[in-house]
Amino acid sequence: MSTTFSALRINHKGSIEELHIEQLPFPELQEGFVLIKVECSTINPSDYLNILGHYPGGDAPLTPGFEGSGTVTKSGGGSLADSLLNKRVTFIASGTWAEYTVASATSVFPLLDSITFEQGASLNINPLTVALFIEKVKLRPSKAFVQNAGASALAKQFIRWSQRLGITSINLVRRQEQVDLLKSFGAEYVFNTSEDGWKNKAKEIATQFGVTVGFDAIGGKDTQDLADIIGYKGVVYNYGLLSGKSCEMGPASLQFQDKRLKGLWLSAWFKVTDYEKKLEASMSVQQNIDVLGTEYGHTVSLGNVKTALASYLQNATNNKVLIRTIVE
Amino acid sequence: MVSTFSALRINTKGSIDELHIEERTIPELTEGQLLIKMEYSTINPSDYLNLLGHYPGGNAPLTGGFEGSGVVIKSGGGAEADTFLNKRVTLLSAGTWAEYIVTDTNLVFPLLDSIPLESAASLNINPLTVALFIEKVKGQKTHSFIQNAAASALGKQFIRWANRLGLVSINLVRRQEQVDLLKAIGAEHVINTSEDGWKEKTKELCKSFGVTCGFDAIGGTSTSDIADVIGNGGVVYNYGLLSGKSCEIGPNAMIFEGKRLEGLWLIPWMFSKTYQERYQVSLAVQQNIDILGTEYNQTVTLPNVKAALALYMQNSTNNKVLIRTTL
Repeated sequence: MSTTFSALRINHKGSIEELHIEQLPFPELQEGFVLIKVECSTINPSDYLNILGHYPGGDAPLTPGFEGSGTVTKSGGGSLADSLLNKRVTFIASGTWAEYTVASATSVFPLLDSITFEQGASLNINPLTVALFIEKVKLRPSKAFVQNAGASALAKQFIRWSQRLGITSINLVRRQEQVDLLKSFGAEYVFNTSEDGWKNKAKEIATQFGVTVGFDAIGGKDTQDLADIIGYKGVVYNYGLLSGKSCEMGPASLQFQDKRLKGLWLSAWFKVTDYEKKLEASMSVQQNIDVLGTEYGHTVSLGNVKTALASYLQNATNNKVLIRTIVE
Repeated sequence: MVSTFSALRINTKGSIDELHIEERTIPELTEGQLLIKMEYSTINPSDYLNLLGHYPGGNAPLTGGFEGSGVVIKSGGGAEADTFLNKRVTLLSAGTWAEYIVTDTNLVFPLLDSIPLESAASLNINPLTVALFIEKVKGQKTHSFIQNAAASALGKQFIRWANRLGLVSINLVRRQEQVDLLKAIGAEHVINTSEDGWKEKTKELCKSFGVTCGFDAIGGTSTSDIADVIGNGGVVYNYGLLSGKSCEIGPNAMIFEGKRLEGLWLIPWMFSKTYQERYQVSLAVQQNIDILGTEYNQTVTLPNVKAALALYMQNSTNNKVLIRTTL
């Protein structure tokens, strides 16, 4: 067994140009931690935000990548970590763009035999966030919601899982091809925000379904749009910053319509949730992988992640990248 | 007994120039209603916001004013309404810029004998809102808070009542005279947001007192500033719109620091309570009138409200107006 492994690293945050391959020594394992031979990983917005310095993903130097799939090769001790030894797993960890990574056992979930490592690579960041969204919708009086950035990978999973659970989705997108895309897999209510009069139409449908919850990936005035569409006493959950702008919400919405604005972050939920619940969520995701799986645009090895990242930054619809965590 | 009275009215929302005096007929009272001879009223931001069309204070045509004081001279009947007959009262109701008002008993509160009707004119909109704020602060783990526009009438009442109750206030203002003003009334922590480095200082101060709630009267990036300085998981309560801008809150605060943004409005809070509970809040305000009272800059009668309103809209610091509602 080699004493070092390859990892994609940055020494400073600020630019994807920083990415380079390094040989790292295998670290000592603490109790409660496992060493995973990573088979596959993927690229999410939090990855490039972290590399650029806009995401609290630890201080550089660091290995990027926050999720993946692989096999547990070593346990640092403790019953949970030990129970994962030699298992095929899907996991959240810091530093998954590497041949090996260390993860807290509480963020590592056994992978069903029927699920490939390729599919297992993107079962966490997006699908578990969708699971969290579904929980929020279930708490509302009516099982319906509105979301923007409706054609993103996460949004599409949200639409599909909602359909399976009998939850109504109202989806906002910016271009006609995205309307067509979402309708092609059965999304009934899709509105193009570039069209005149879209907002009144969306509000009519939202009122009809008693929608009081919205999910915002964009920020800026798009947050206010969601607030305007949902009903009295509704809540807008912001989980992304695609516009780079602060979320806006007017005093009329806040004071006179009793609406509120909250953030949602998978990591925060992760920290405060016990393993049993997280495992349950992961199993639920795995059992619904036919609707929560990811279509990858292409596959790259560690050496080609930088190039793939550059093009991912330009258009993140339909372009999910699978990383085969080897150096070719 | 009079059958008509003067009221300051608008026919359409949009401009304070719409204000004009009209003669109105006193209607027949129905059960549960009171006829109140108005003695005093006042001007609040919600008044001009309503006249301009930015506040849900009913459809025009309407009579201006949302609070005041007077004497109940007639009851429409029913055990509840009858108990108010001949009482001196302080009230929250739409249409107080008039010689008389007809209203139900919901937001009419008997006035302590020791309180003059002038002081009672402004015992509701601001002080009851401060009572709401105090309830929110007491619900926090640490009894501390931050507020902006701290030199407003409401801001100062909040500081004084917080001091009396042992709650810690951190106060943001925009000018040095306001810093001096607030320190003179006993505010310990006052920060001038026009000074360099104010935000870092404020953040440290909030940290040392474990502040997790903020009160925002301004909107725009001022909301974002409060969100940035309070502790993780904290809440920003927006209750005003002095900037005219939508509240902003940045992604760091929203997503990574788990903060949230909510609105506060006196009216729903009042109606979430029984009448007895509301009265208890009014009584608490009345008993603390030494610190929750208002210093008026001038007194005007109904025909001069328009001019006073125009000035108040330009500068509301230390500019509270008392309206004598008899002609």
